[in-house]
Amino acid sequence: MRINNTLKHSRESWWLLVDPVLLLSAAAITALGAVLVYSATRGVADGFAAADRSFLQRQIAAAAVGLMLGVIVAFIRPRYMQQSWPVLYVTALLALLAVAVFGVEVSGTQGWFALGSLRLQPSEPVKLVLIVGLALILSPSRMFPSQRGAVTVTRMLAATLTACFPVVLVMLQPDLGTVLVYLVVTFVMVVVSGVSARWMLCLACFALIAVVGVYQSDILADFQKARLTVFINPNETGQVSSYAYNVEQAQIAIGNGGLRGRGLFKGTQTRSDLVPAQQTDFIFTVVGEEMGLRGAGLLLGLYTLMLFRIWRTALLARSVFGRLVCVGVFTMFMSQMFQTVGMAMGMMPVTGIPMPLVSYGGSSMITSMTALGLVAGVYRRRLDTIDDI
Amino acid sequence: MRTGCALVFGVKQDIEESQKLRLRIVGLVSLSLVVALFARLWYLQVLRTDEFRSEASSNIVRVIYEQAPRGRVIDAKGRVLVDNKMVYTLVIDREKLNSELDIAAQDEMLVELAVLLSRTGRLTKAKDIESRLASRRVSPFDAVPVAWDINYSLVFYLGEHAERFPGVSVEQRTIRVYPYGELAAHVLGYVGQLNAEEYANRTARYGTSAADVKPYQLGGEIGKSGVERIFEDTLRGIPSQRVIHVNAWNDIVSERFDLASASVAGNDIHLTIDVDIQHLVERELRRALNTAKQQESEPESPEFVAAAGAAVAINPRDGSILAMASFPTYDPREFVGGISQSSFDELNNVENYSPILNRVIQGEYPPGSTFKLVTAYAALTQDLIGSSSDALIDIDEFYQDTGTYRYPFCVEESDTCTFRSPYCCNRSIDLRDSLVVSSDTYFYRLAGEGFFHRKAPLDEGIQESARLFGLGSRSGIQLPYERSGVVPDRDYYEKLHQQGVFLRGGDQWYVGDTINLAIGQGTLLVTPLQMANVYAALASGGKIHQPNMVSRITDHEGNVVKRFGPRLLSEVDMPSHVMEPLLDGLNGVTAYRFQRGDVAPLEGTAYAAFKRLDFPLDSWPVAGKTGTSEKKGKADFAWFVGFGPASWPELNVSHTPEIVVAMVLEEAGFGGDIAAPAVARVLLPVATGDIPIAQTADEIDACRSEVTALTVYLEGVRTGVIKVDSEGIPLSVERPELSLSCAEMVGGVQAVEERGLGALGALP
Repeated sequence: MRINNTLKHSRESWWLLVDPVLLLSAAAITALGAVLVYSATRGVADGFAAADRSFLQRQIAAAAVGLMLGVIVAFIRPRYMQQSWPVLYVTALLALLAVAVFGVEVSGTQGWFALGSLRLQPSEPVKLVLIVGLALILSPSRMFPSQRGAVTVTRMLAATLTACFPVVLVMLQPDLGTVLVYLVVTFVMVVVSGVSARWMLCLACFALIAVVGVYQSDILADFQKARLTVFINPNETGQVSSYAYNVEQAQIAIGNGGLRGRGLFKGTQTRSDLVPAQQTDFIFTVVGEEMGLRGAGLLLGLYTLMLFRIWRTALLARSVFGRLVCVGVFTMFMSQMFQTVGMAMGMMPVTGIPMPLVSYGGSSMITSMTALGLVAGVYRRRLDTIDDI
Repeated sequence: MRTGCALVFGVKQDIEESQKLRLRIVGLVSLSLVVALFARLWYLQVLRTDEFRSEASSNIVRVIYEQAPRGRVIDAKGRVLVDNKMVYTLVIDREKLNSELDIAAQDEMLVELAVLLSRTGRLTKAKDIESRLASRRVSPFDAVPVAWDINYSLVFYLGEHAERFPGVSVEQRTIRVYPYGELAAHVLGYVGQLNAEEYANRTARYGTSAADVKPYQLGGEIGKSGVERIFEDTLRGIPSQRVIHVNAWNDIVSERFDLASASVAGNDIHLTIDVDIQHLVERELRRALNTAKQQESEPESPEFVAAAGAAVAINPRDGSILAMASFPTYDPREFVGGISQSSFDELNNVENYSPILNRVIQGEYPPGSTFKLVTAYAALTQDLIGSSSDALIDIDEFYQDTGTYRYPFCVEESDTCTFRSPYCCNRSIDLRDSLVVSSDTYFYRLAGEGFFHRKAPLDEGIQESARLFGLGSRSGIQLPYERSGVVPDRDYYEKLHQQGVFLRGGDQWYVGDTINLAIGQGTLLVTPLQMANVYAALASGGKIHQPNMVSRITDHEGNVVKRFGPRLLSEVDMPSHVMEPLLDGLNGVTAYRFQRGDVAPLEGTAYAAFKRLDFPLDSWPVAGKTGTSEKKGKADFAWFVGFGPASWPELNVSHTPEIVVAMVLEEAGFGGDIAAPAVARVLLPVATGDIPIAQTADEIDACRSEVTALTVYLEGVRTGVIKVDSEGIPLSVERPELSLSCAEMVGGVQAVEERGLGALGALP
């Protein structure tokens, strides 16, 4: 019945099954991101040294892998997701545990598996496991059979507990940026799921206490505190000032771009390595400096368009599960984009997270593509009369 | 709205509507965040872009300067006194050194480097290198030079073992070289590293961006004294400039070739100084000091230390300096690459007689009897001596010199009004004779009954004349740190008294002060250059020139950029009735005053000095004056100032003087005994036109080894180590010979045969 239904749609109007605006905007962002990664990593590339294309090639390869995964995910039925989720969740926790033991450290965070030259950051795909899990828990289902009523306290607590384990494990790395993404995603999903105002308030209080508690305790390394406080007080000395320096240089780079930019591959700040991590966390400085307001505005515009289409998919979703998945993906993209762009422009504290689809990094690229696949799946099923769950 | 609230706050409603509403709120919040990002982007890229753009450019643009060769200093005959030379310089990159070696390994490496340097013949301690490395004068981006002019084998060795010396490299740099060694060191001055204060002064004066500025960098070269300092702007070349873009680690990313400029060598300075005369003057100054030292001092009187002296030769026609010598001196080569603080302190140490001082312009001495020219001039021009009836003394009047003068207007009957002249006799003299024999008594009388007894301001007539001749003020020569000397008067006494350094005020100016002044003693102070100027004024018929040391400046292609002509500062009145008696008297100093009627001929105070040399005074008369100035607790300072060829009006001899020489020798004895012979020896080659050619340091070194080789050979023959046949012809080895120029310098082969290595003493 359902299958027939789907086939009918595809036969009559295939465009109803895919959101071309979402896919095109995502493709454009990815393409622009690849150019920026190339610009940030190609090196001096004058008459004496050839441009370094290795980063670009790896980024394209990751995008291709991500695209395939995304297409596959778009066709997985929610029921199968529900069935396989406990296994995925346990695998995710084990992976996070394993990375705490066997992982390699990159700039103070032990968050990567090293397989030869290949590096995997498990905390990235775990985001998706978390989003799917929360969506399952927070939507009416056989597992939590309170069908049409508001989200019960039990389900809210179950959701919070589900988020807690990965949060604690990632905190051990410690990777503060990713933890914040987990927390924001969980919070927004719980809120949108329809939890009552009382419990929302309780959750907010709890979150506040947790944040203060974490900051006061020794869980955060000094360098992380420094990164956070430099945002408030940029004139400190010592290591703090080197973060202030990074923030300063990033803003100079973006300001240096002006309206038209310095020209692709011609950003002096970018070329001079004055801005750190410019192919990953600070990649927005590259577009800001080299393409100016026109390029950076285009990137932000495309991003806004893509986010709007994900948000719209959430509205159109047939089921609560689908809606919550879209909300999770939306929040993940939105929070990471706002954090990385805001950080480059001195509006947000410095944390090490990538800008989805743009920053260099295989794990992030594959995760983002897969996330879009999840959204595409929800879009595809929006006209189905019966959903799995 | 009520429904909305109910939905948001979870009143039991349709769950889907509630979720959609909450989703819209999330969308709204997200939209506002995106708007905030756009606003910030606009702020950074449109509103503040200019600010960030200039910051971005200063972030990465570095200007690298490379010093251009400094201009040369050339003597009057075109011989180079200061030149440049490309040498291998050992430099250390501190950053690289620190990043690759820990402290212990660094120490070890520096010791090894010091050993290697010492092995090539320049003693170096690891500590020396360390102190150079610690220098803050070199910018942290630049490598620190630690040794100059290292030899090629060391360059080769370091290149082969580069991995053992991280951060150490060899660069080619230009340094100052001095072909004539110490010759004219005080005139030439030296260069040193630009310090922070000088840098601030320079940039304050010229700014850093003006197009015609020759940019300076900390640690760069700058002239510190002498011609190097005064003509810094001329000598300094325009550094080459490269504009590079660097990254955060100062690696070069790209270069702006359009902004690059090549270096331009500095302009050359052509001095009026003649190396041959300079060499002659320095040699005679040294010789005179040596002679003075060998004098036996009277019991209970101070020793003849004779450690310092100064001499200057100028051309009276235009005031150009022909030679300028000060002793003790220093070797400007010591300053190449920076002198150590301890060596520099030694050069400034008063106990070493401050070799750094240029005594010709910085030494202030009482001129002694050489000042009598000024007193006599004052008396002649102010009608104290003359042929008119108003004159105190008739020009032809003879005064009975008993060696004692008593001031007749003295109130009390005490000894304070009696002035004695040491070593004197009983004789009858006129003004001319008083100069010939340097009679103090004659001048005591002029001062007492003449100047002092007149009404103010006429009583300061001597001072007035002294100032006319330029005493008491700087001559304006192109050299730094010139002193002005002192012409004392009541105002000066008053000023010092008020400052508390002097017991007496201006109202306490006694007859004794005027009397002391008349013979150039007391608080009167002059520099040797000022004294030469006084005599040059007489020689030139009254012209006071600003002493000039530079004839012209040429650019590196030889085109004249600027010429320096004579600069007449003023002219003192020199009518013949004034000039003639003065010239007659001064000529008599070096010769003798012939017999006139019943007056016996008088021997001048420098007669013996000139006679001993068979000086051709008939064809080349010398007018001059000896001086012996007293300093309490020290031996007398010996002076002689003279010029030639001088006119001698009494004998109807007329010449145009070519040279004035002033010489002073500290704690050396009588002017007539010590200074006059030295000046005579300077003037003799000038008079005969046979000035010896000055030798360069290399030539002298070569000569030194020739003399040593010959001495060793002669010693070998004497002791029988070297066998010779009956005719004295060696059997095994060849007899080393002296080159012609060397033989001339040491006084011939006989000198070596007689004195062995002692003959080297004749070398400069």
